[in-house]
Amino acid sequence: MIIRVHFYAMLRMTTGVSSVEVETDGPITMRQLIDLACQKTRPQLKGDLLEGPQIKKGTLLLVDGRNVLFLDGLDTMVQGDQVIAFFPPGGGG
Amino acid sequence: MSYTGKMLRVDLTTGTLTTEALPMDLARQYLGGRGLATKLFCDEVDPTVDALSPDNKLIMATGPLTGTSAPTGGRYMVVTKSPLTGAIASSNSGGFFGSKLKDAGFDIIIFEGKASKPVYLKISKEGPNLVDAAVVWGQDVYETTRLLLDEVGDKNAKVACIGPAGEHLSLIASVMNDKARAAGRSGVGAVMGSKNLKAVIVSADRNKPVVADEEAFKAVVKVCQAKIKEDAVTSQGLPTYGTKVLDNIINSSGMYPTNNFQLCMFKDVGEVSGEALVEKGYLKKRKACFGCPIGCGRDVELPNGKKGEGPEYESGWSLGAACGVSDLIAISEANFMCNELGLDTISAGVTIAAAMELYEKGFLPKEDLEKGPELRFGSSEALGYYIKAMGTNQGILGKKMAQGAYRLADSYGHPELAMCVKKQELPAYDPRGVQGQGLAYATQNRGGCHVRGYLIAPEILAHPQAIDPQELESKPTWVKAFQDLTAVIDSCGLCLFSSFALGAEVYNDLINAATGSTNSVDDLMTIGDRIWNLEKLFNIKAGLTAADDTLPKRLLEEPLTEGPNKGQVHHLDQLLPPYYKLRGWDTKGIPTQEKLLALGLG
Repeated sequence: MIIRVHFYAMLRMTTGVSSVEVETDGPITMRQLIDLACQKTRPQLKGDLLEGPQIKKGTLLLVDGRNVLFLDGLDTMVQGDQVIAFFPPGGGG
Repeated sequence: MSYTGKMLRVDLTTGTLTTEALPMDLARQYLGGRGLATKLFCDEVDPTVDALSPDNKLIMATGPLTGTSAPTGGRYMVVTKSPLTGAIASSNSGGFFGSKLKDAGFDIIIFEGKASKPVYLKISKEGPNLVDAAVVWGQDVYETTRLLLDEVGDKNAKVACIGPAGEHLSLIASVMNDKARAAGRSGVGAVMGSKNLKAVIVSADRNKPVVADEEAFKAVVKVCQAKIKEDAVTSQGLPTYGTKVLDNIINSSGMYPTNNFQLCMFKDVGEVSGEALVEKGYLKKRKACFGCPIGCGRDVELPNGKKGEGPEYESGWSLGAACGVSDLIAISEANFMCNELGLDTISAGVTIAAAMELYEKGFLPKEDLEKGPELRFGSSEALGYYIKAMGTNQGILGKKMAQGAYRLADSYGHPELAMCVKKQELPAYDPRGVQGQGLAYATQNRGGCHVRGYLIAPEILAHPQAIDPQELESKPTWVKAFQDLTAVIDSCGLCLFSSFALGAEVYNDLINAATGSTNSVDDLMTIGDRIWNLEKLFNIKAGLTAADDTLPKRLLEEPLTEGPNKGQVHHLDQLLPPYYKLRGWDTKGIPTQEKLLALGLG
């Protein structure tokens, strides 16, 4: 299964791409997806998104538009037919 | 004490200018800016006044931190009765005008009456005086600013003015300063126009406000600067992408209103987002207001050579997805036009969006278009054409649209198609996807507005902590806290964006060190609560009721059809009663006597 991860804002600048595809045998956790996305882009991506075992304050990991903080956090299962989007902390109005 | 201690009263009817002492007892209770100006306004103006009559007043007010070294201390407020909503109006702006006003020795200017012919107020080293504005009347904002700077002979002078929209009394006209910064909302520009007041120009040398405790103030400022530098939003997101970093976030979250809130996701968001503005090379440099280390402003140059500021997130949305327009060049040009004409970008875009839906549904007859293009969602031609028409009050539709979305839609028998609260156009977040923000919209004292209680921060941006956007129980508490804190920030002269990095404790330390007050954080939040209730009391006396604390029917009854919030409506009926109770108001939304006494408003 192919899972596509979309990057936005500063993450686009640091990874140099707007999205990346990772191949898996089936559904995986968000934590595993981050590891695979790191391998495809840059090792520092993990540090951009996580602070130790936690998602960095203000960082948004969305699965079909839902923040994983309101699903199962980094244990949220993801699969190929979902829209995965990573955002660094953002603000405005 | 960081105040100049003086305010200028300008009687436009008689041409009399009077310098008065700032009432320090009131400054202690209301800080300055929005709070103090609202108090002065409420003491002097009958809430039932016709907003465009000489009996209305208009106050420009800085706060105690305006012009100081406190980060983002460049803000000022325009307070008046709104001709758009009939409620209290208080529009906030940045740039350099506010700090310059303090340099000139005034915290506040109160305008009253009406000049017999167009004038502008000149404040220079020789003092303030009224000057015939014939040379600039009829000119757009940029030309007015240029002419006045030439006239005064000081390129460092700062100008706040209205454009043609304000002169024509458009109910969605803004007051513009430093060319592209806007006290945008609630039609404050029309009130200036109604008084034949074209502009204010201030020429003064730097005159840094003297704070009460210099050492303590410096120490807190240092803390603020460190926090702003540490916070990813204020140190990276906003400087790099500006507020338009939100386009993709809000769209992905399924609450990016599209085609007049008929949809909540925009298929072409990638073409118009903050990322696109950077990647297409239109963004030339960032721009900062007085004393701001964040610098969220955008200097843009388009491939056709046109230059200007923006679009910011709200403007890019209202002139883009709200109208279904996906051409970033057309959106940017529309933004520049609004700035030049002195039109509020949110209201202008949402008014055009309403016109498009009215037309597409057959409620707005083709003959009313006269020679104009068809009002189809997605038409960048219509966007540019009708902005010019409404900003210059031309044609059947231009005149109607200049009155805002509600009056336009009402004139065609379908007020429900105006996406407004209290007749003011809503901003860029569909409340069906974010329940707290919807409650904040409905209860805004100045009508449809996102900044007086920016619940998007916790509900979507996980800042300062993440709360579920669809959860209901905690929302009244969050909304009240955000509304009260924002009233404080608006009243001390700082930018709301500072709150991504700073909290109530730091604001309190700043204000105490600057003014010599000894407030606790609770005291400070009570000041915010007092300001909110004072505004509410004005609105009640002006004739607004609980029936005005609502959202457009579409948002309450029509479920979203796509995205993560598919099937959702806004649950205002469940949120409003506990909010009223928390505020200390009765079931009709009227503050109880006990509450008013506790706030010193009884």
